[in-house]
Amino acid sequence: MDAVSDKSLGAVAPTDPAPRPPTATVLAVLVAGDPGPSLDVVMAGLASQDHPRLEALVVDAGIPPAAAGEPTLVERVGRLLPGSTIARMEGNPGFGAAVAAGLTARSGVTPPSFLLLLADDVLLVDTAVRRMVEHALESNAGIVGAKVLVHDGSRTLDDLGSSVDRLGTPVPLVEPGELDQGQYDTAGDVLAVSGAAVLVRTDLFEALGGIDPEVHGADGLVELCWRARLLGAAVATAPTAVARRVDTGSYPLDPSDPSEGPAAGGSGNGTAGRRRPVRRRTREHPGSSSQRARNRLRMVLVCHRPARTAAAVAGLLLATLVGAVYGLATGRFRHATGLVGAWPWNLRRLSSVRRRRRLMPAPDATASATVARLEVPHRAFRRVVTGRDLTGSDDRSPIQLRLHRLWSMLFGPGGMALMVSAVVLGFGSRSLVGTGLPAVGRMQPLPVDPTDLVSSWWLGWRPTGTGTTVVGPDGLALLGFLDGLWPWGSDLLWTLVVLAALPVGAVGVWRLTQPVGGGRSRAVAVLVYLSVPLPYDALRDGRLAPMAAFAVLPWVVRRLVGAQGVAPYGTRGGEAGPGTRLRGLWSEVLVTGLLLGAVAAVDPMLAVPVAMVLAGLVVGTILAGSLAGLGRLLLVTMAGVVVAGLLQLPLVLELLTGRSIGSLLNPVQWPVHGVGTMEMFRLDTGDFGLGRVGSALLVVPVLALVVARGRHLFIALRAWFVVAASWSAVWILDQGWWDGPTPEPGVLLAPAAVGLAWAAAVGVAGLGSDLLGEAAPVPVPGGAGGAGAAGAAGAAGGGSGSGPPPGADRLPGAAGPSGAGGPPGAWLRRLRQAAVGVAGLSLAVAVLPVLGGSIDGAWGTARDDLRAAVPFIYSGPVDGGTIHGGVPRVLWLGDPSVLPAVGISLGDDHLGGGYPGDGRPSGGPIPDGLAMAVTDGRPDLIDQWPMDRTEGLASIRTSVLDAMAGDTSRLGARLATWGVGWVVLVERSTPVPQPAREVAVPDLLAGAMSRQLDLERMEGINRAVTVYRSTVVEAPLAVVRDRNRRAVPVTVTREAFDRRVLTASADGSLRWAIGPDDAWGFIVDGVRQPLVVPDDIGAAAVHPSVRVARGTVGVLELDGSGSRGRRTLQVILVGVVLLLASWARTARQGRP
Amino acid sequence: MNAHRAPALVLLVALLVGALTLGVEAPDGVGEAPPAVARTAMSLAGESSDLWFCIGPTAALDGIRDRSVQVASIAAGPVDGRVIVVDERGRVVERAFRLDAGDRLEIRPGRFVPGSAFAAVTVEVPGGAVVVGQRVEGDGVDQRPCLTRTSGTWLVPWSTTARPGNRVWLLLHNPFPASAVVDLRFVGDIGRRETLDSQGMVVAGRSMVAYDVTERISDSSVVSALVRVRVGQVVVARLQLANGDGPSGIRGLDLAPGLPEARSRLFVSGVGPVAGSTDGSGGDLSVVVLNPGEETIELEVVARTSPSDGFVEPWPVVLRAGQRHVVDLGDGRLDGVGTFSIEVRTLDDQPVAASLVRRGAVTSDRQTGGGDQATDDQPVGDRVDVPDLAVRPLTAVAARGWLVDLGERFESSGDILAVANPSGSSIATIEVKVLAGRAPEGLPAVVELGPGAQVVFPLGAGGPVILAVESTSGVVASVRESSPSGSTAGVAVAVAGTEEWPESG
Repeated sequence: MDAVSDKSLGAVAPTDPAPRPPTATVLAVLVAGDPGPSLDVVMAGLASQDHPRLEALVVDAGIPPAAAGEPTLVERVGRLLPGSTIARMEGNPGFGAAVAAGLTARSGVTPPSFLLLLADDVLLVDTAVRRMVEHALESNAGIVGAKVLVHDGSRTLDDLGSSVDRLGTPVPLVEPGELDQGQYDTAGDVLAVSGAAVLVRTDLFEALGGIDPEVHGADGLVELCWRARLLGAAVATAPTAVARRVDTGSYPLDPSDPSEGPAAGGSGNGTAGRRRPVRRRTREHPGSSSQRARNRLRMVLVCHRPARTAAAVAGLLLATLVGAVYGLATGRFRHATGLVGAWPWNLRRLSSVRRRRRLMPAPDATASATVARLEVPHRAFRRVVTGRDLTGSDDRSPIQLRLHRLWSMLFGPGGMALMVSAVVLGFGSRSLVGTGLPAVGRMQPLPVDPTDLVSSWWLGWRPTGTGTTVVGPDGLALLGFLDGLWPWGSDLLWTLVVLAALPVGAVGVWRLTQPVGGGRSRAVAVLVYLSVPLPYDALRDGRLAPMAAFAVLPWVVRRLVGAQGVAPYGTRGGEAGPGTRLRGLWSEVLVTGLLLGAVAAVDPMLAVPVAMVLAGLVVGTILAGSLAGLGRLLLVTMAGVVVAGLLQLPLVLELLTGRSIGSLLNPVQWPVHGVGTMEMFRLDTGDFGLGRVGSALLVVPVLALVVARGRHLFIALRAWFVVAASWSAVWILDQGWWDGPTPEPGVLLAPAAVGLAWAAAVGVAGLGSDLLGEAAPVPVPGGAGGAGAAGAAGAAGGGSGSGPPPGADRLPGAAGPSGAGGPPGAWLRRLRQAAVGVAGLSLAVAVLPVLGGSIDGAWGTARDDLRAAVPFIYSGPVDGGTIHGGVPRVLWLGDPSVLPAVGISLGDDHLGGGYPGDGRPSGGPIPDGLAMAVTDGRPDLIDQWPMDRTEGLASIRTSVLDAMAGDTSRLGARLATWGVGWVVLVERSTPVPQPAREVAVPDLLAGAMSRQLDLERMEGINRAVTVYRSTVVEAPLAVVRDRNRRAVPVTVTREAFDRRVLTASADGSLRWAIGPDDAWGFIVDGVRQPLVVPDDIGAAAVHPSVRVARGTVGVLELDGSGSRGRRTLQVILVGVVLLLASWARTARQGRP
Repeated sequence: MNAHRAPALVLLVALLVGALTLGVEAPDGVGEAPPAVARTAMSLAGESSDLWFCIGPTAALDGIRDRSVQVASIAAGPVDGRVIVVDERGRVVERAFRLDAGDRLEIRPGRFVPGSAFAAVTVEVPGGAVVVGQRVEGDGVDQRPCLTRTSGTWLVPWSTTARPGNRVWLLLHNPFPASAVVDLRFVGDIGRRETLDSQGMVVAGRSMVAYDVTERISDSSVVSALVRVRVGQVVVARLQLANGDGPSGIRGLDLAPGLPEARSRLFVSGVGPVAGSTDGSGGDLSVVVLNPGEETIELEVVARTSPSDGFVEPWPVVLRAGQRHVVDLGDGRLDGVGTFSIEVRTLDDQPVAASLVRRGAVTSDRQTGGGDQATDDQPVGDRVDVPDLAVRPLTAVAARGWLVDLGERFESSGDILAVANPSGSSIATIEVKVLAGRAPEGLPAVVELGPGAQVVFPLGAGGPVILAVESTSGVVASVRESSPSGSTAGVAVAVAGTEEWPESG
């Protein structure tokens, strides 16, 4: 290894006291395009070489005339390289052409043995040329390169050459930031050496026809080496010949500027070629996208043999198409146009391609094998598509490196916490994964044909509640789409989706707390979050909304605090913490809008906890004595809401045209003290927690309020006010002071869970800083005691970067325990250590329920569900299936939390409606919290989202209320008009003896049902339900005979979600009890049949009907054109916003 | 930034303290009282569908001469309905009918199910505006409105199986399609008869069961029954036949409906001297109080008399769980007192059930043409003793509207309509209207009733008439009839939706 010390240029001097006599002449061809001082450095390096037979040829590639008083190029060359030749060119034709022109200008002179092609940003160490020559002679190499290090004096490698992949993209050998440890000194098999300094045998150079003048930039030398390899010449790097990039201190204004000449010729790696002083993790090619694409295609056309050329061209063509789309999607328009533009550019130069190919004899097998062996096998397609330099082979890719870093991180405290959590969650969920979720509450299974979810979303119709066209959540469609791709069973997919709420939430907290502290902080935050009883209670009770809130809210909080941009989530008041991505305003708005839109796609009701989070952040910020980032937070959020509204345009339009906000909420029975104040503090909405002991969960977050300082305190306050906002809302509702529609308690408590986890991270970080501050006080300039401790917070918290930067968030006069308020004594140290012990103990207690709950493998959920209690209630047919009269409907009555489908509340009218007969019947007492749902047969996931009141629901509700008021004794007959075959009173969410949520049906309702003359209670059924069979049920699809008004079921064959083929079984009026009335039409022979006027003789009561004769076959078809249009618009809007967000992100990244 | 801890901490602590101290108290778990529903309530025209349940014997039962169900329309137009007759052998006969405005329909259930000793009739009137009652004649008479309510609990405070001469049946009717399962519990004479439980008796759907109490609890002077329905709902009545041979000399028949619920305040109005009674009194009056609960109850039986009759000392009772007590009102406190009402009220707000039992001999003229007033100075001609047994379950429900269907009463004497205001604080203004038929003479249009007061309207004899009582607040209306066939009494028919729990005083 020949490491280079960091010497100043003036200190460069020969270090080899006894050089061997040179045996070859070398002509250094320096193509100068940059008139800056770096050129002098490069020339000084040449001048200091110990190779005695070295001449120099300086090619003036368009250097502008020197200003008055400044030395001209001739003067500069004369001073540093006296006796050199200078060739002047008009303009910059490119590196290859400049070299060729320079050599032509030197014609008539004895040609040297070697040419040294040198870029104007490379400083050769004084022995470099000699060692390259020696290496060339010793190894009989035709081309020899140097080891190029970065400019900053370190041992970081800059360029050691490159290979190419099968599509002709050069792939650098070394990783960005890779240190020179001699790892490439012995086995440097690359296709091309570094272009910074290339020693090439003159005869070989001439045989190759020089550098292809059409291949610009660094790729020119790659192409030269490639063809040399094909000729059988050896190409090697002399590891002892060292060069170093020169910091030119200037930036190319336009990376696509074709006047890249000298610089591009110097770098195969690229970063130095772009003259960026700061290296980026993902390296960009020095040339423009279009130039690179042109080079790639030309090299394929020139260097590949015919058979491989065809394959490579086909691959490039496909990659060009994909890359163009990618470029448009990410806002990299030049990349896209460059890819596309490379084709006509090369097609116009096919003749020169042919000429270049004629220079090359057919390579022998050995040479071809050598080139093939050096080809990089992976990610060729991706390099073209993305335009990025994905370096190395598989085990050295950036992704692999990231994985390696992740792997390393996993063995830190936070990673261990995550892994242990994953193990516990997996262990606790093993039975659920094996046998599937029980169909409890909202967690009903997917439909028999899961694509119904997609169809329902697209067509805007759901069969639930006798048929509704209100907009459902987009998440359903996504789930149906996923099921189509899912190779295993739908139950497993659904189980995993539901259970994913736990790890998704945990990872969200992990991400949220990443800038706060290190591994320990994040570990505690994750443990606290996963110890909250909310998700487990929700899982047991079959409540989806709290699970969804648990999963998404950490991400929402992260997004909002990122939008606020206060350190460590931004650069306001300090440096950004680890994992923080800085975005522009537009990017913030669009990403926030996308996130809010995604949240609404899962459940629009989640807007409520999001609003609580926002309120908590605002209040917390203000009470912390700052307004930092508030304007940006509010602006981004408001604009994000607008964007989310665009993404949810169908829903927004529906709300604007009369749908009530309340209809977005599930009916919830929330009696006074239904949750309880202490239970609220413990986030305990069920029986999963430990009772009073569960308060241990609050210990660490409370510590955060006490010990945190500086920006940690700022975070703690915001976290606690998120908690306070959540608790306040729940408490107010729990007092019965709000009787309007409300989300479930679990949803409203989810922000508190996030806030507590967030504060817990701060608490641990604060504890760590205090203790560390005691053990090793950090000297703080200016003597701000608090700053030192705070600065150590990150390290003490287990990670770097968590502490505030100097002067970032100091508290003047902060009187923390280790601050300037007083010297901490030994007792204080013990007190803090005790606090650590208490925190650890509280965490250990807090996780006990989770550990205990995991034992049965199902988190205490039931292992059976109501399907077993009512096996006679069946699902509808799948496509192609036939049934007579359609699926009898089921009316479910009971507490909304135990019903297997979402319906409407019996007791209040917040849903609106306005249907005839809708509303509370006179004198009909309605117990609080009672709800009703109507499903087509067995309920499934499609029946689980709230809706507005349908005509059928309104009618059925009125009938039920009439029955409860004693106004009817033939409820079955009234329900029969809507095809209700069963009335099920639900008192338990699962059958006996499974664990269940149990809410008794009010006596008034039970009595009313038992008093009906045409409802027959079914015997021998699990006491979780009481089932009444209608003795007078009519088929939903039937022909009403004129003679006796009897409804005769028709034969129904389901063709698709929105099409049913009906065969009339009698003469009369074919009527369909499927709502809404105007959504369906009956088509015979392509002609939509006219509806019978309601007042006409023969018209079916209540429902739309058409006249049919026995044997008529027609199609009952849903008119989903309106929904399709809205959904199309929505998809377009989503695409546009995604595109804009991608562009905004790219634009931000593109800035220096 | 400089973050300040103090303001936020103060606010957070304030919120915490506020949450712990300012919250409303947790509810005590006691739910609101269920809505008041009368045993018999009918809907006015077009308001809702009514179901009437008439349960009783047929002429095939020894001791029963006739039983008829009367359906009277008060609708302005035709009324369609359906009659379903079932017997204890599972026969079901269903017929549709149409009643023109103001028409009456008479149904003899025995003819639908010939040979059956008992039959239950369900009259379904989808449009309401129909009054249904039944009359049973034998050795005595019983005429009351049919029930409109089914329940999961029924209480029958009084019956007697004292030997000889007494027969008692507990009639259970399940008008609905599904079977009902009931548990029966009888309380015989304390110290003489053990309690008999009959658990899990199935009453098939659309059927009735006549449970012969006489066989199970034989020779008990008082038998109380508690019916609890495990599944479903039923209608319960008790048929008492007494031929006067028993030790108490009771003679007559009584078909009393059960009480569907127990309450802490119970009322009956129109109690007092019966025209034609041998001694001019109200006969042997007693109140039987049944405690269906599991706690000992303190209660008192209060006679609410007119101001001119003065104050009557209440009868205090302490009743153990599951027991019943007979309060004899004939201890002299009511001597000389005119018509009064009775209230049974518990002192600890525990629910009870109670019935007023009137046993006594009534003489009646062979000649018709009774007086116009319910007074004791009826003309005495050829007088004969008639059976006189009337058991009136006390009601807990008051209503602002009542209907009284009076059939032919050409032989009646001293029939009265009594309206009592059970409220302890509010004044009720009542108005009596005639919906069909000819109004009895002398009916005042509007009467004001003070708290706890009662008014009695003599009805005299006459043809069929349907009266309506409208009140500004809840009142209790009852009818007492006397004829040569015997006397009978019962609560009027409440107008559905006007029922309410009386305010306590």
